[in-house]
Amino acid sequence: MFEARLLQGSLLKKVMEALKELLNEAAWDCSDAGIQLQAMDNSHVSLVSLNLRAEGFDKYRCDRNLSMGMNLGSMSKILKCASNEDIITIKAQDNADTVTFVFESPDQDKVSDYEMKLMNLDQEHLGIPETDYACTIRLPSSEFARICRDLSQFGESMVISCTKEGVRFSATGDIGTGNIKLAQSAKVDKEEEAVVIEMQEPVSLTFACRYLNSFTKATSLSKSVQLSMSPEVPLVVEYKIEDIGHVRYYLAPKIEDEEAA
Amino acid sequence: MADPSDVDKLLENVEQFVNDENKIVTYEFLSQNCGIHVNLAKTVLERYVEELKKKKKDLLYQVVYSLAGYVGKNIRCLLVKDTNLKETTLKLDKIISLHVYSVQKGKLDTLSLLYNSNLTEFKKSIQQCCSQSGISCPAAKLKPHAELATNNTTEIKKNVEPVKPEHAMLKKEEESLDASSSKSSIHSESHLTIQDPLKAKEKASSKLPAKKTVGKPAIAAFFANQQAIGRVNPVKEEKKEAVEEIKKSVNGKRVVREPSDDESENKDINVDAIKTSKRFKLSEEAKPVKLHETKAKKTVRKAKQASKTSEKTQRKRIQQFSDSESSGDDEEEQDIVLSSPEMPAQMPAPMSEDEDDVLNATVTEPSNNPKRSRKLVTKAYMDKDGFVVTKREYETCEEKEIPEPTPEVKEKEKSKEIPKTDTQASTKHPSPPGKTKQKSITSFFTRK
Repeated sequence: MFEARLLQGSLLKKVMEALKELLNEAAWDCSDAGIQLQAMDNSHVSLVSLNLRAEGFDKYRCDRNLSMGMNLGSMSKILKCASNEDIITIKAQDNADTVTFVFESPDQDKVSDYEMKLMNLDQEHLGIPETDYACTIRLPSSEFARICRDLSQFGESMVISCTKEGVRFSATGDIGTGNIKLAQSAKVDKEEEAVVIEMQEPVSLTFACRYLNSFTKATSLSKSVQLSMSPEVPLVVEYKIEDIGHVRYYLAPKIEDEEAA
Repeated sequence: MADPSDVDKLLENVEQFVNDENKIVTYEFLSQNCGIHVNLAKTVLERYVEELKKKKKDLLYQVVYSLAGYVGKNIRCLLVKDTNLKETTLKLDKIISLHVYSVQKGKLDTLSLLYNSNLTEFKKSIQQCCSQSGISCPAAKLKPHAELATNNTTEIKKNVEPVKPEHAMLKKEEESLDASSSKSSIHSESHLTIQDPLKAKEKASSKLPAKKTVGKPAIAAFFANQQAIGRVNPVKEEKKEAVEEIKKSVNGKRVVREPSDDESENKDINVDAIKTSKRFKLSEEAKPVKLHETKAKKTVRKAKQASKTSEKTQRKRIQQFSDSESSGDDEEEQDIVLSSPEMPAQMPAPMSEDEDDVLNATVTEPSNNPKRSRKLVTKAYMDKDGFVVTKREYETCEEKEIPEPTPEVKEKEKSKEIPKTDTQASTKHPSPPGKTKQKSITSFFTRK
């Protein structure tokens, strides 16, 4: 038996928004530690890793490890039936082929439940090694979303360069070149509005804008986003979900073609 | 002037046409049939009518007069039955011209029938149909197909107005209104009024493009005007010519127009030019007719393109004449009503030309087999008796052409194209200066 009750139902809705653009279907791995999801996008360029800790739920019970393959499009449709204020409970029997979503209004006068068929997904999991990244940039998530949106107009690739002076996002295309440079914030009232750069060595990597734009769908989950880069290593875009976990996106960089070089 | 013996022979011919063949003999018909100048044809008809009157047989015949005169400042050109001639002449302030237009046995129900009488002759040869004409039109130029095609569609759209049913009795204008005199308005016998040529021209020109430009901002109006002028120009020229011809005919000065070699060489183009003017005249016709024409035109274009490519492979060229017996009936009737006496001679030919192409184009595929299919083909040809016969028959033919894709296939193709554009875009916007290759995430992380 699996049951997870989330008081802040809107959180699950936001998570769904953050996932569904990149993934069509994914396996939700439930354990007594919490819910984890790891899936690559169809083109195997990016990887999404979601972690929702058991402590973050109002009620969490997982008798046996369980992997629920879900069609995220269908799940999104069901979650759209829930109000932002609703309490969402996910229920599933052991070895069941369905999952039930229960939406309770805050005053308990409306309870709706939706049953969704599960899928048999044979998804491979990737081992993500612990990496000490050469650069870590923390910036407001809305700022990052804006940068990605703006620069994707210039070209399909974006270069993120991190130096001592700050971080520079640049894109070049037919219409010209766009450069956005963010310097480390000297003094900011709110921590989440700050641009914080931790750098061991300068890094400059090229990434596909379309994936970065998809990552920014998670902007509503967190006020700040953390970018972690190392030379010739996937970029990590991490949105922390308050009190419960995080969603991390890994994006393989574009590497200069050896043949062309 | 013709030899009296010739005139007698011609009179015999007229007698034969009218009595033996029960034909409506217009002066155009006579001119074409006997190869005489229109003026001589008119004289012969005049003589014939006089003889009928002498024999007091005129009541058995219907004589239609062509009458032109002034009502105030306006010129009126009327086709009047002999019974109404006196009344109508009284209505005119000044008579410019009066001559016999047609003679026939029995009663003429509608003046539109007069057109049919000329039709057969006109069909025979587009080049010859104006050879006996009293009007020459040196300014008439052969227009390229493409130009005409674009002009036709736009002009017709602007000028189409519904025809009132009570105006069924329509009249033709005098000789002055040749095919290019597109300005001629269509009126009933009693109401027909052609204004002073210059005024009419002004009116016509103001009708075409000006309507659209009204209320536009200055610069927009300017450009719209320019566009409209560009479109309407050919018609305007025609109108000018028509106006000049009206003047000439009024003064009794007529120039015999001889068909040039160019005309015969560029038959197709000529045909379209005539069609343009015809359409312009049909401006008061109902929309369905217009649609029919434009559709036909489209199919014509397609067919022409196809015929160009497969010219060598074509087994035979079927010379066609208008399918007056079949679907074209309505259209033709309207043409009859609206056509002017001189230039309509050229009308049937374009139709036949069109049909020739339409014949190729109006192919319906009952079966889906792309390789060998039976097609419903419309064929029109002239039989031994000189009648145009239109036949629809199935022909088995092998097609090398790729069948037109179904909507589903099209969608698939579209969906296929979309990623292509993406990849094109990707090549278009390489952000970094050097070529970069997107790595897969699996090359960085090992599978568990």
